[in-house]
Amino acid sequence: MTRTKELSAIDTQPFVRTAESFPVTVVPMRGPFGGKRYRCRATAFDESTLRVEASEALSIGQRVKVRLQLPRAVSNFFRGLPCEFEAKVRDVRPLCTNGAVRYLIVLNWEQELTQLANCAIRSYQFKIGTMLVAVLSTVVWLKWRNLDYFWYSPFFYVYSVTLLTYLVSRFFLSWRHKDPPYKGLTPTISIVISVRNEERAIAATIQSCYEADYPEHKREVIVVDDGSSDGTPKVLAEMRERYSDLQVITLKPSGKRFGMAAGVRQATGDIVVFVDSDTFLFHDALRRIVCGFEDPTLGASAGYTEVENADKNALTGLQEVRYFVSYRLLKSSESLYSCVTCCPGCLSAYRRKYLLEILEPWLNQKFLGRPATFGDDRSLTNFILRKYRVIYNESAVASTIVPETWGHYLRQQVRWKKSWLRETLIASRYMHRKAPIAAISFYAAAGFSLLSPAMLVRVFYLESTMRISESVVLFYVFGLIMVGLLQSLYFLYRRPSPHWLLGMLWMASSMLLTGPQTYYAMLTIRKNHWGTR
Amino acid sequence: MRRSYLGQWLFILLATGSCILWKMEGQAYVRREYYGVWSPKEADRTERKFLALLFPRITRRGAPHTISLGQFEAIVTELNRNGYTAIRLRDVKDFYEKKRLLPRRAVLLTFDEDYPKSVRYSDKVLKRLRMPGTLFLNGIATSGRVDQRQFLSRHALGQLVKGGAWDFGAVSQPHPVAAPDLLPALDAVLENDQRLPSPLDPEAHRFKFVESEIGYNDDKDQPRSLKVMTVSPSRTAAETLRIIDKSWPREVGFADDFSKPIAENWIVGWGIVSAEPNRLALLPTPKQTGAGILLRGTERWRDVAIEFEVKRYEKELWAYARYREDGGFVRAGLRNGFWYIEQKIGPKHLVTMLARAPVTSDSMPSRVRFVVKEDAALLHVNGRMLFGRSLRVHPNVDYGRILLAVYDARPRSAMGLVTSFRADPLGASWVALSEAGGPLDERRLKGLREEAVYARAISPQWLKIGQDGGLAQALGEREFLASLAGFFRCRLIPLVSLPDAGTFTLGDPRTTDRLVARLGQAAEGQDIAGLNLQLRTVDMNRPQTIRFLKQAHAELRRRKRELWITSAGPLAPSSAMAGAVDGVLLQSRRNADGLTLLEAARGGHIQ
Repeated sequence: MTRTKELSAIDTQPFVRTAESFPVTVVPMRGPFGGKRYRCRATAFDESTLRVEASEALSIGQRVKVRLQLPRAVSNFFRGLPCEFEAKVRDVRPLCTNGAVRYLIVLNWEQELTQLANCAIRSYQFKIGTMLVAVLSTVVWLKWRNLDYFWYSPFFYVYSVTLLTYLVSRFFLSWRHKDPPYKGLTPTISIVISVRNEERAIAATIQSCYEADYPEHKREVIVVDDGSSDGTPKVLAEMRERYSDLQVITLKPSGKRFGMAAGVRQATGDIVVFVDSDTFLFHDALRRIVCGFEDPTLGASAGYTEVENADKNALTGLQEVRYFVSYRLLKSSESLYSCVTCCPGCLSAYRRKYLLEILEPWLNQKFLGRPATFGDDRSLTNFILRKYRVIYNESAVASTIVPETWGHYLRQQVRWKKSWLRETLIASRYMHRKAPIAAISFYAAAGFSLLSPAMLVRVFYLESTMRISESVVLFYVFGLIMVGLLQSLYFLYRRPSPHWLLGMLWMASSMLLTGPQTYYAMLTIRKNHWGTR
Repeated sequence: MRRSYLGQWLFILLATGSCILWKMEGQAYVRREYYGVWSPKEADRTERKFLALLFPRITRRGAPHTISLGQFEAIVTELNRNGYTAIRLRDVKDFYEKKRLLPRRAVLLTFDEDYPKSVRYSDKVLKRLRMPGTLFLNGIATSGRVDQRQFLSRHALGQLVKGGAWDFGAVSQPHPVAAPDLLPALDAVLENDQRLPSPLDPEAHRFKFVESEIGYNDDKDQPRSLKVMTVSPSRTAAETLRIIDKSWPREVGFADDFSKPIAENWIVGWGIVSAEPNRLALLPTPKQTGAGILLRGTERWRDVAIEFEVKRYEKELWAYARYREDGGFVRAGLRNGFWYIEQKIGPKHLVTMLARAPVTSDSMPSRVRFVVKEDAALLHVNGRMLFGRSLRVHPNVDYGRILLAVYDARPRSAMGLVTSFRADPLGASWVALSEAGGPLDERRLKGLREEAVYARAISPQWLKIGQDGGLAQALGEREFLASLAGFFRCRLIPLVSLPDAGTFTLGDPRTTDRLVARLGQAAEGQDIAGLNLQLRTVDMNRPQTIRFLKQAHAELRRRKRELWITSAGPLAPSSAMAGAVDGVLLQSRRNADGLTLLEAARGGHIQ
């Protein structure tokens, strides 16, 4: 509950009347039309009132139930949570639009909307939290019972038990994670956007950087055009006219890494904030991302990234769950020991002074005799993490556009696997000097990623050779379902979204598609081509 | 590395190392050193018999065909409390191979197949009571493969070996044969332990346990076919304990009027057996041709008197004595209107008829008395002896169970109703005929015939030692008594009374020598098996008496005769009596016909 309050305090900034149109259902509680559903459209709301447009009128003073999904203005984290609040009809006015008679109905909330929302969130979290704990307990209990068979296959069970311990520990560690406190710190920042052929999104990205809440005189935006061949230069020129202090650097096509380096060299702020060219900052993202930089040992900070196009299709919905688990579960846990292994390029902040120390080696990084041209964010984090702390700041939020086709998604995953393999190998050389829990988690996670496809093969092999009636595959699949359900429920706990069940699809795709990609990435790791897309 | 992290790393490594060490060595060490098996002292090893119990799979709550942990704990705890001593498999091997004796009330606790949880539960209980267990391993159990995880893992088996509280044997019943490629694994696990030979080794089959309703074994059993009693999950712990107690050889008789359901005294062998109201009904099941019921604890009975009342029978009804597990027996009963006594002297022999007599029309219900005494069998029906003589039983059929059974060649056609049953082991009872009882008139003769049925020997007072050491013979009814003894398969050993002052006479070596020589001549002169010297209790342990007895015993042995003594009072034999006589008799009772019944003394060094 403490956590809920804390999150709510962050999410529910005092808001004034918000003009936002969204569907609501109004159900009179008594009277001749008691129970009848009126489908309306909300036009504006604030802490005490809700304005809706309806095709039928209601009596003044009538008590109604309003069913709606929480809008982002009330709660960003829990937006989409289906709620039902009681209200009273205060006023009804006829509206004439295009000859059709409609009514503007003004409803008064029973309590302040924030309080009602908090109540709804608590109730929702209790229900989902109970399910989550039940599934978690079941998984742990099954594994505990399964330990009876440890000595029949010690290697497999060490893997299995460690994996479960790793997974369960992520829940507890991420539970303990706290963002650095907001102390009103506003160091000078330089936002660096490396862009190539992103004419559709770059304008919105630049706009979100300027509209984000941060003192104007302490912010500079640097866009590095890495030889775009589409309409990006034109868009940048337009943006330059709109934002006079926008700095644009144009390079020949040379890779994202060089673009980022050029931006860093150009930057003058104490903190360099990297933003992807298809990422859009939330209102307070900049203020939040710099939290914690008062500590000189902090080298970098990663923000949280939402999926902008999550509703596009199942794949993007799946990636919403994936991003959520990756950030809120894994990075949160890593952050507890200041050992976040990857500050994603979508939104991350680095201390410029430290960046300049490692800029040249990073820029000239080679792996197996070839220049490293992908995984720039992970690579940069790795350089910083070697000497400094790296944390995750979940209240600094941005949203990004993710691949919408499986082909695009799988190609992206191969690139990520390659960078993961390379940087894991590099990080493993110094990770043991970090906090033991973080180091063990790092090495264990690396082992799991490498072994999980092999384990899958082993399960099918056992199934074909077993002489007992039990089906190993069924047990394995059941275990996967439980783990998938666990992650999906955790997503649902924090984010009421219909995409939560896609977490199961993500689990299946991880095992069958992206898992085996690890070996493919291993075999083709020397194949270099241009960066992220 | 930061200093604080060094401490954390050390802690983690220490904790992990401790866990591994504990699992690999610690648990077994604690089991071995602090919960070691209690072993009986050599001085307490005085017995030649033991019980073997086979526990099926043990589960926490008792699933079908398994016994619950609570049930097992109750049984074993109660055994421990009742003075049973759990022995090891190696004790059994030493008993048969090295003749090393076993402790009193020895019990071998065995467990069928190495189900991991079952072993864990049983080990937990045995650990608390410090009792050893014997595990019958399935050969494929130790393959260490995950697809064989219904059996013990190599690690678990190794831990049991290290713990030292368990012995191992091959499974007791036919099981899937171990694959040859897995067998070396079994040896590898136990390579340092010689208790479990390889299943490929023929030596492994020298000791084999066979599941049975009884678990009693002694030195008469073959190590290849030792019996192990399966603890039935359907019985309560109390019932099981009563059965275990009844599984030892009975020393006293047993009677049942069948007023209550069949209890732990009986073992239903096959068919349908019902024991109420006041009758025992034996019926085959629809697919069987017979039904049978065994009396528990009679496996070692030799001489026995069985009495029962037959109310009705169809086809065949038999009372077996000396029913051996190898198939030998002697039996008496009814078959198609005739009384029979039959015997089967071994597994490869046919049943042979010893005698047959028709059933008279008015003989039902019949009171039957079937006596098997040494090498003789006698059958009385309604108080009348059948066949006019005792029948000779083959020496191969020397001991065995009591069994009641019905048979026929066709299913469901046989039937038997028995309304009462009594079985008594025959001790070494003698009938002494003293002059004080008066002449052998009709009344005494009737009593004598009745007692002679059960007696081993008849002891008429034919010889008397005078005050001067002279021996007077009075062979009254000699021919008749000799005939009677032969008829009832009794030995004839005359009673010799010493005069009151006889001990004083024995003090003189010359008189003693003369008396010994006369006794020898008298014994050899008659067709008798030996002499029975009657002594007063006060005289028994005197040195001159012992000297005299030894001298007489040696003289009679030279003449292939025995020397027994009868104590006129409570017996207190000294150790010096050992070897001086062939046996000591005590006066047990005097019957209404003036016959004195003597019983061979039990226990002590002269037994």
